This record gives sequence, C-alpha cells and structure tokens, in this order.
Amino acid sequence: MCEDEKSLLEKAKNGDVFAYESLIEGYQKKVFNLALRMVGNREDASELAQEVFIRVYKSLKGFKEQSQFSTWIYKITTNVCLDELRKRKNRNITSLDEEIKLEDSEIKRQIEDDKPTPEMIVEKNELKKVVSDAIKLLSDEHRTVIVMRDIQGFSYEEIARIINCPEGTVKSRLNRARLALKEILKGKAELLSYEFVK
Amino acid sequence: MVRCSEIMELVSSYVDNNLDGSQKDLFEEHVKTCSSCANELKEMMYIMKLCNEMPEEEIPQDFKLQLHNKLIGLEQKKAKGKFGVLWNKYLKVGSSIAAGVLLIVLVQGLWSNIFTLPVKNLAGNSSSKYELKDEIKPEISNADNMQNNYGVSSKEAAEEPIANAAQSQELRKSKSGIVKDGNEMPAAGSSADSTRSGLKKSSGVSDAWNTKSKPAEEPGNKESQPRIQTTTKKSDQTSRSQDNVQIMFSTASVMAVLNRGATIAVRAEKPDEAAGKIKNDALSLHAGVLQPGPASKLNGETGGGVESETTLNVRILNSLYEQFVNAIITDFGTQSVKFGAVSSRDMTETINEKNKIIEELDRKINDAENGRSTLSPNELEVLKEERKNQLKEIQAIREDSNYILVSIKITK
Repeated sequence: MCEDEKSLLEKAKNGDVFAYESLIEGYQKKVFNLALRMVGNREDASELAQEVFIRVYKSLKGFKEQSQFSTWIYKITTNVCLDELRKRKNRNITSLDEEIKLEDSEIKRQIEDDKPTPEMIVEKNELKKVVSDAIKLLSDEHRTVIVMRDIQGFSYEEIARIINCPEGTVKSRLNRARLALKEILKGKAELLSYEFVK
Repeated sequence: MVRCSEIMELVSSYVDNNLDGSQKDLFEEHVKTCSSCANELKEMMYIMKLCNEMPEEEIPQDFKLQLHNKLIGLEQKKAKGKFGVLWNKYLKVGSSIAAGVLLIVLVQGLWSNIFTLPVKNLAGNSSSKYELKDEIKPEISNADNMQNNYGVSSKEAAEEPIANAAQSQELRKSKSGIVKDGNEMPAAGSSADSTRSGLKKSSGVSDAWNTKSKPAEEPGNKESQPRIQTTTKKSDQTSRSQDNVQIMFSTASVMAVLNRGATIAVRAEKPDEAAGKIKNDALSLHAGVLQPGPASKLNGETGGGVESETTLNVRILNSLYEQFVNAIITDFGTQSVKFGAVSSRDMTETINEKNKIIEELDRKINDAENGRSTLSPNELEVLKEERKNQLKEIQAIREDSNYILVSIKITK
C-alpha cells in the first residue's frame, strides 16, 4: 500500500467519505465486473458492488494493513456475490436450472429456451453472450475461479488468498471448472464444436 | 503409459504454463500421440480465449453517486447515534434559546421594518451585539421573568413578540433616545463606544455576566433607567449564549463543521466552452464561481489561462453538490469526468480553540472593566477588537461548512 493510500485509508477510517471514495476509485470497475460475471446482470451487479464498498467502509477499522487492501476488497466481493447467489437459490430464482452430477464436478443442465440459433451465434457479440450464459450455468465454486482467473486475470496466488484456500486447490478447482465450462459450451452450440476442432 | 484422465488433470495448468518441466514433457508427449486429448487441449484453449476476450464493462453512470449517497447516509446515521444523547440533553435548552433568538429577530424586524438575517447579528461583530442588545430592551423589560425567555419556556418566548409588539412600540416612544441610538448605529466602532459608555453609567456589562442572580434581586425594576440597566445585562447574557449555542447546540454544527474541498477533472474538446457550461451549471444551482488563488495560472475566468487547460473554482452548497455533479456528468458523460482527491477538514477543534480564546478575552475584559486589572483604554480596545475578530472567524467557518469548494480542472 503506497503512502497516499495509507493516508486516505486513515482519513476514511475517521469517517472521511471523500477520502474513502478516492481510495476505492481504482477498484470500482473491477469489483463491478467481478460482480457482473458472478450474477450475470448489470443492475444486480451495481447493487452488489455498492454493497461491497459499504461493507468495506463499515469494516475499515478492522482492516489489518499487513494484508493487501485489494485482496481484502475482492474477498468481500466474492463473499457478497456468493451470499447473493445462495439467497437466490433459496428463493428459487434460478430454479429453472436443474443441477446434475458429473463424475467429479457439478454443472447445471441448461433448459430449453428460445435463444438464438447457431447461425445467429456466429456474431461475435452473440458468442460472448453464449460464454457469459454458460458461465452462469456453472456452480458457484467453479464460476468464482473461472471469473477470477480467465476473465479478471487474477493469479493463482491471488485467487488462493481471496477465496482463502491453498493454491493447489485453486489449480484443481480451476481445471474442473474449465472442463465443466467446456462441456456446457459444447452442448450449447454446434458452432462452438466446429470452432473447437479447427 | 499415462492414462488420459491423468492428462486431463493437467490440461488447465498446462494452458496456464504452470507445470514443472517433467510434467510438461509428459503432457506434451501424450498429446502428440493422443488425438482425443489433443482435441481437449484445443477446446480448452479456445474457451479460455473466449473468456479472456470478455470485455470489461463500465460501471453504471449513477454508480458513484448512489454509493456516495449511501456512504453519506451512513455517516449521518453514525453522527446521529453519537450525538443523539447530547442532542436530547440540550434539545430543551436549545429550542428555548432558538425561540429567544427568533423573538429578537422578530422584534428587530418590527423595529426597523427590515427583517435582517440573524446571522448578521451573530456575525461576531461586537457592535452588532450591542445594537441587538439595545433594540431588544423594551421587549425583554416587558417580560416578568426574563430568564424564562432563554432558559425554560420556548412556547412563551415564541408568543412573546406578538403579544408585546404593540407595547414595544409604546416603549419605543417613551424611550426614544435609546431606541434612536439602537436604530441609528450602523458604524461598528462608534456604536460600540456610545453603547458602552451608556453601559458604564449603568454599572457595566461585565456585572451582568458575572452575577446572573442580580436581575432577580431587582425584581421591581421595570421603569426608566434601572430597567434599562437590568435588561442590558440580560441581553448581554443572551448574546453570549447565542455564541455558544451556535457551537454547542446546533445539529448542523455537530454534523457538519467540516470544511470541504473537492476536485473534479473534466476532459473536453474545447476547455473554454466546457468551462462556460460548468459555470452555467454552477450558477443555476446558486453556486459562486470564485476567482482562483494566485497559484492557479490556468484559469479561464481571468483570461490569463492556457487554452488547453482551464480551472474553475466553485463554491456550492453541500446539499446541491450532487445535483452539480449530476449536471456535469450529463454534460460530459462519465468517461470524461473524473472525481479526484476530495478532502474534508474537521473544524470543530478550531472552533473550540477560538471559543477558549474568546472566554479568555472575556475574562480579561471583565477584569479590566471591573477594575480588577490595570489595562489602558487602548489595550482594552485591542482585546475587544480581538474578541470581535475571533467571533467573526467562527461565523465564517460555520458558514463555510455549508459549502463545498470544488476545483474543476478542464483539460483537452
């Protein structure tokens, strides 16, 4: 943490909202995007990201400066998002997705819907949407590591610190998550299969 | 021969280049000969490519503002919790005093037919205090127990001016000399002098501050000079209370004796035009567009600026700051606006220090006026002037706390 950040942190701890806003300026986009990929829509992501920064603000006094401020923020982000996903499950918001067991991981079965045909998926934007939708179908655990590693670009070490588990666990979880995502995408569009074998 | 399932355990780490030498060799050897695993690898790489290409989205336009409001709400809640007990304790006294202040303002307004803001009277100008004192004389002298006006019953105090308005007029006529003084005292020094000399004749203002019980010992004094003497003492107490009230009892001061500064950076094709736009935004929100200090050479306002960069300083009410920010975002879009370092300085301590200085000055002035110390009239005058300045500064700080000073840097 640089001196500027330290000074802002001290001010923020004493209730200086403006100092706090300056402190978190650089994290807002990343936290929002992390939340967006975790919950899948902008409105919820915005709400959750705000919730993250409120929680961070409330617990500033308990923040130990030996740990990294960024790691701490992302850890709270992950927890807030996973809490939300759990709540949703309890409210059956995502009940359309039935969970099925694979050999060593869980994925969700995609329900039939009126999504674009493979021809339309050729469009690049559609492709991104397909990926985005596929990520939504992953289990929370897998989604977390995929979003952190493959979308946000965190290192294994960072992910391990954020989700509080050994690096080895991150590696194996990521491996399973990628395989699960591949399975979902394979079943989702023929085009992707075509792309796969090219 | 390695089994495919074992190879599949490594595929992710291989893609991330996270395998050690021997594992990597093993993996590469296997995929050379196993088309199924080679396929898996290709697919995995493709998916990761897709994930990596997922665009990072911008935060919603109102994100910062919504968050800001929530944070401010939190702070206000905290402040309420913290000062709630203190506030409740002083609420009764505070409201009574507020009613007293209202009464004074109302009577003063009736008197001169001009309703002036109480702030002016409380601006820390000792002459205005003396003015105030003289003007409320008839009003207060009519009250049976003057302390009630400020200490106990706010309701009574609030009803007082209406009931006494006519009587006040009468009294004004009968004490035309004094009243005239009160009305025609615009200049600070002379009015203070004339009032003070009058006070000296009637045994001095300091007695009133030091001996609060004195008016009660003179209950029948409602006529002529003795009454004037008593009321003068009383009103001096009031004035002093008002100064303290400003600091101790006002929720506004409890929550916001913070002098705030904010910086906003705006990118625009034509900085001068952008500055004009922002200036209009500010003016439409009743803000003051200030001339920058000598440090800023880039001000478009003064005409001495550099064309590619302009700085505007805006002083805007705290409550309108959000609207101002919104207006700028609407004008230029979130992409072109950056909210930089913002600071707020808690001035409560400064005010407390100034209050201590004032108390000390009061003590010295009292001592001198009661012959307990040997100060020359000039020295006394200097002390009074100092007291006046300290009060003025407190008032200025308090007024500033209602505003946020925004420095807007507009660059190409």
